[in-house]
Amino acid sequence: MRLHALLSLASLLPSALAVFADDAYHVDYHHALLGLPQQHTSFFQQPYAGSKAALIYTLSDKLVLGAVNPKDGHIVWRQSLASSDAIKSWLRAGQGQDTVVAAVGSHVTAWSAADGRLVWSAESLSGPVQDLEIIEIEDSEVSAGPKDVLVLFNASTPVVSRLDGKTGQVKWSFEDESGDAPLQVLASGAGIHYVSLHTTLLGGLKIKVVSLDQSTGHKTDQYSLSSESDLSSVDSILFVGANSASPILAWTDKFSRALKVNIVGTKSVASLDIEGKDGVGIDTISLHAPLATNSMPHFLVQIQTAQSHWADVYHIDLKRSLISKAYSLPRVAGKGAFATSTVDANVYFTRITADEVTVVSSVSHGILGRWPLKATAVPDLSDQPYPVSAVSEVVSRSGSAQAVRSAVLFSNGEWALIRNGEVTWSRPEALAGVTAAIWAELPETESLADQLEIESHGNILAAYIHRVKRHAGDLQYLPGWLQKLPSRILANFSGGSTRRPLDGLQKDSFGFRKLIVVATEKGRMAALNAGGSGKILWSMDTVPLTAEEKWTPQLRTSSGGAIAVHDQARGLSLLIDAATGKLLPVDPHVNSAFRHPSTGAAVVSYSLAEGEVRAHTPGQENPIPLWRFLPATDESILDITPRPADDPVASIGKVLGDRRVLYKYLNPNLVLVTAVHRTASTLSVYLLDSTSGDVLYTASHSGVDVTRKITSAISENWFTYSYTLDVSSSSLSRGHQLVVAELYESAIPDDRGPLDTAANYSSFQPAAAPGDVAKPHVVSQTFQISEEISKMSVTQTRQGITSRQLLAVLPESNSIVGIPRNVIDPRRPVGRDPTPAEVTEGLVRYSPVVDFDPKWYLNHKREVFGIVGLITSPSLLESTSLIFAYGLDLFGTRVTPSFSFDVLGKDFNKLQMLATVVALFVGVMFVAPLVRRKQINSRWQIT
Amino acid sequence: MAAELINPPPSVPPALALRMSQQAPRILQQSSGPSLPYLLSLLTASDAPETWIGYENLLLSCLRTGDDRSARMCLEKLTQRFGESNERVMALRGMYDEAVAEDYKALEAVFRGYEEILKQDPTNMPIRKRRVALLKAMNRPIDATTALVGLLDSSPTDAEAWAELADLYLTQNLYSQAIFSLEEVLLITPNAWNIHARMGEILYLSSLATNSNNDGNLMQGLCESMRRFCRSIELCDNYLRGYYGLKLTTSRLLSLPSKTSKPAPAATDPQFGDLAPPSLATIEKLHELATAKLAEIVRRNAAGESGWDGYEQAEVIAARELLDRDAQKVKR
Repeated sequence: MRLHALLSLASLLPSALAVFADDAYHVDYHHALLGLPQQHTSFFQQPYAGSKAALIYTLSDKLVLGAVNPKDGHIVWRQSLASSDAIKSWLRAGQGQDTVVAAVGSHVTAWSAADGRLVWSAESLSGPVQDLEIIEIEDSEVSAGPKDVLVLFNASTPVVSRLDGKTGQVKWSFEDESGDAPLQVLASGAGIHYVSLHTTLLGGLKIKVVSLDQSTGHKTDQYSLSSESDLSSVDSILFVGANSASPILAWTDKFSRALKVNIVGTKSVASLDIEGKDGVGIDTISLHAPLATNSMPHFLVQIQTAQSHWADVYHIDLKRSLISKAYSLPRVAGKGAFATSTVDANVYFTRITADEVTVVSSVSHGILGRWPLKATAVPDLSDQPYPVSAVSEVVSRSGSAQAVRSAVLFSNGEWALIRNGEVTWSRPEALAGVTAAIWAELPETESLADQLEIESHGNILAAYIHRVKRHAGDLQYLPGWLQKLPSRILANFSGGSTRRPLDGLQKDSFGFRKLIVVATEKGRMAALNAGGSGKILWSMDTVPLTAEEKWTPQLRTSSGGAIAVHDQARGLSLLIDAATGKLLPVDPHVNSAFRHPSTGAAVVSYSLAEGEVRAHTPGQENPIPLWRFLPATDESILDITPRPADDPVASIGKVLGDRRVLYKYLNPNLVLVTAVHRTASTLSVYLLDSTSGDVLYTASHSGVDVTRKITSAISENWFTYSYTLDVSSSSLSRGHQLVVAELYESAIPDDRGPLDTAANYSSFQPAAAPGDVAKPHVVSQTFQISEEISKMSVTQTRQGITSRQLLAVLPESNSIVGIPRNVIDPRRPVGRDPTPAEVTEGLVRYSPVVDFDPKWYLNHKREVFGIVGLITSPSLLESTSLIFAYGLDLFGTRVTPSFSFDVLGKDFNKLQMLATVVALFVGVMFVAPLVRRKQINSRWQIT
Repeated sequence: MAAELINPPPSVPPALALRMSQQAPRILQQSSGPSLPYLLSLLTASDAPETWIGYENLLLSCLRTGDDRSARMCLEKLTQRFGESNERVMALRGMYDEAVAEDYKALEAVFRGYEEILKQDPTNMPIRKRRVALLKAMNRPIDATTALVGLLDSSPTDAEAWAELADLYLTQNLYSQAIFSLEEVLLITPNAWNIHARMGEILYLSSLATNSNNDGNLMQGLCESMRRFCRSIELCDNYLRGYYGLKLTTSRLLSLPSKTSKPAPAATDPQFGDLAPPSLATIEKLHELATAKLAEIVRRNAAGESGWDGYEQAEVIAARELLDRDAQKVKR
């Protein structure tokens, strides 16, 4: 009865829960990431002409275009340009312009530099973009305004188009019908040049340069460079373009012995010898040249070997078209990065090595500034990080006194701004693209649990001695604890402690402090402190991968605070200490637990193989599966979603308004299988019992757009899935749909169905006769939702008493919503108002459309990009569930689906409470003698 | 304040009274500190019930020992605390006035004061009782009896007043009225062994005084008296007065002519009539018991054994004298 009362009370709780304003930015944390910035698409630029402060613009390897404030490293704006056919990307901004132009795939887009709004976009139907340039030097008849954009499309016949800088309209196009492979376009003071590669009969590549008229696009000139002898692949071409006054073409010969440089517009090719030092083969040669139109025609060639790197600076004599070496920068061990920056016509080269930053002018080799580089902020467990690429901005005052700030990408994926040798900020861009994440307990909690385990398994005396010893050991913390006590009490009363971000790895009484171990697609692993604003505790390269590979390991918690990492594709098993990131020796039997990741300790494990679900006895690969599940003909299985292994259920029944009980069908072995028929556009959903292999429920939906996201979630006695209806389907409804189904033992209240009287029960054979399955009673309902859901998850709490929320990732609005369970209750009465009994249950009339209440958005003002996964974890507080979403961004928060009923809110005034107690005490002090006097008086009144 | 002041024995022996009153100057000096303003004085813990009980007892013992000055100071303190109009304080003031009255005239003045008060407030019980006491002291027992009867009319459950009335009647040799009054007391306090013993004494006296020539009635009275003493002993072990009376009545019964001690069994009805007199053997046994017990009490008291020293010396002497009388008889 008490339970009934509790449940009915719980149902009266308001359904809509918001992120409170004072909770926002305190309970949640967000790593808004871009991905690794690429050198050729990153630069400092004023957001609009005349702006004093510059922003760093970058188009990352994740195709996220972003503007970063160089002062604090915060993202000013971000746009995800992700496209399926993108291989290369470009980002350009004209000098003094308020737009940045990006090209990804076949799209060319211009964005407002200050706020990231789309200015225009152009799409080529013929082919992907091959190059993008801004026409800096305008021809006379064009009035001031946004500078035009030159785009090279790599179609069957390559097209060079000049797009209007204001609208993106094509002004003119030039089609190259020669059949040569397009390489690049160049816009310079000397006109527009189109560079293509002509494959000769012998396999060598001949560079062909076509000059175009800037205003009409007509071909004015054409010449070829005899490069076929030493140029065999596109990869050998180091550099095309730069310094619009004197664009150059640079490539190396086959053996990286000589650098060939051609000043575009001339036919002569200068050959510059590259001296190999210390006899080691040269790894890479890269060329850094200023991009500004009015800068001096100097460039720097960086040569990197396995052990050291150095650089040579060359000057171009424009009049005589001669290239001469000006000076060399000394050889420095290790790897380094160079950045070019221009101030007026002066060109400065910033050299960043692992331990110092130096600035030289292009004119002479004198070092203008030198700053020792302090260690980067994040401890890296792998080898010492070294700079990979950099962009920098030099402030020059009277020739020598200089300040330099460089945005440097380090080899450990940190993108840091180094200002005069100091790391001003650093962004953990290595964590962009997390493919797997898992919760881990703090080592302290784990060790206590271990200790208790020892005590519970020993004999009584030994356990007692162990406990006394443990308590004696704990005494050493007492003085410190006592010392901190006054400040803690004071902080409690002033209300400061709740706002203070939690740091360190100590456990807290609410269980909010947990670790999250993540694995990125680049083979990197890191741990975040979920209780400490998502601070990164450690980060390390775990698996060396090539650029194309994506790492998708499976993570499992192991004993002793360790995380087991298993990579099926590489047959790799690792055991990592969650708190420190140290590798632990792998236990051979831990490995076997991986083979069937979906079940864990269950009797039967299953996996998706060859388009069907196969069940095995755990730990051994039976030749004949225990059972097989094959979807209907021509259907392919999209996904299998098991019920979470740790899914506590507080009540086995649902109490109805008239105090009768609808018993939940609680089966720990539920598996939801979604399968699609690609040609018939149908979606089929199968609910399986993973032990017996019985099909408990099926549903089929026709007219489903099978190319869109279809996600599912299962918890307790309900499951849900969402899909998008095909535009061309015959169904009357369109859009995105969410189906919710609840399972009950029987349709009749107070009835437990066929299992009621059964004394024995077998999971393997749930029914007496084969095929006669005790199927649950399923109540399902479909809701129309306004946005596509790409990932779903369900909140988890410690005891499962708190009502649940369905968490859904909305990729279109870059957000995560927590949909209260009672909003999508399939038992909502359809076509009639609820009866009074149903009202007491909290049911409201069914309406087909579920609008996402703005209060449900867990990310409030934040935008979470590219979320691919969502994990939840219970905290020690029953009311609170921890959430972590990963993908491009990392976002974590905590939710209280039934309000935080077990913890005092921030608005609880402890001072007022204390004042009341004191006032009452003083009152009693004064009233007590008065009462005593009255008592004496009355005693003296009688007799 | 000493414990004996706060919680004195029911009847204060003169020595204790003297000791108590000798403490008076010290106590009064102690408590006459500077008085604080009203609200602050509340915070000091001096205003305990025990303080004022103590002052009252101190006042009484001072009056007893003639330390009128200290008594006056006690009274002033009580008046200051509870006010002039408090009935209990009024009665204490009257008691003080009576004690310091030098002659009969002064007493009469006090009496007139009482009359004045009672005219204004006839329900002032303490003053009404004081008035009875004053009348008794002024040797006007008949007026006192009338006043007491009036008081009992309005307050019939006042055991103290009934006992006082019994005393008053006894002084006037009105035995049956005295017995009635004591019976009223016993109705209110049925377990008061001293009242039972007192009843036995009065019954003994009355039967001796009224039935000296009628053996039957005398025996009836003595038996009744003996029963009362037995009851008092039953209620209180080693009750000297009870054993003394028991011995007195039983020896008297034994000395009666034996023929009269044979009652007609039919004439008695245990339900409605008087009880039959006990058999001779019973009386003898009782007499022996009483003698033995009295001897033990006297012996032990004389030896000063612990637990046997609470007896009043006069009573012990009387008991010894009674025992000696018996012994002389035997000697003869």
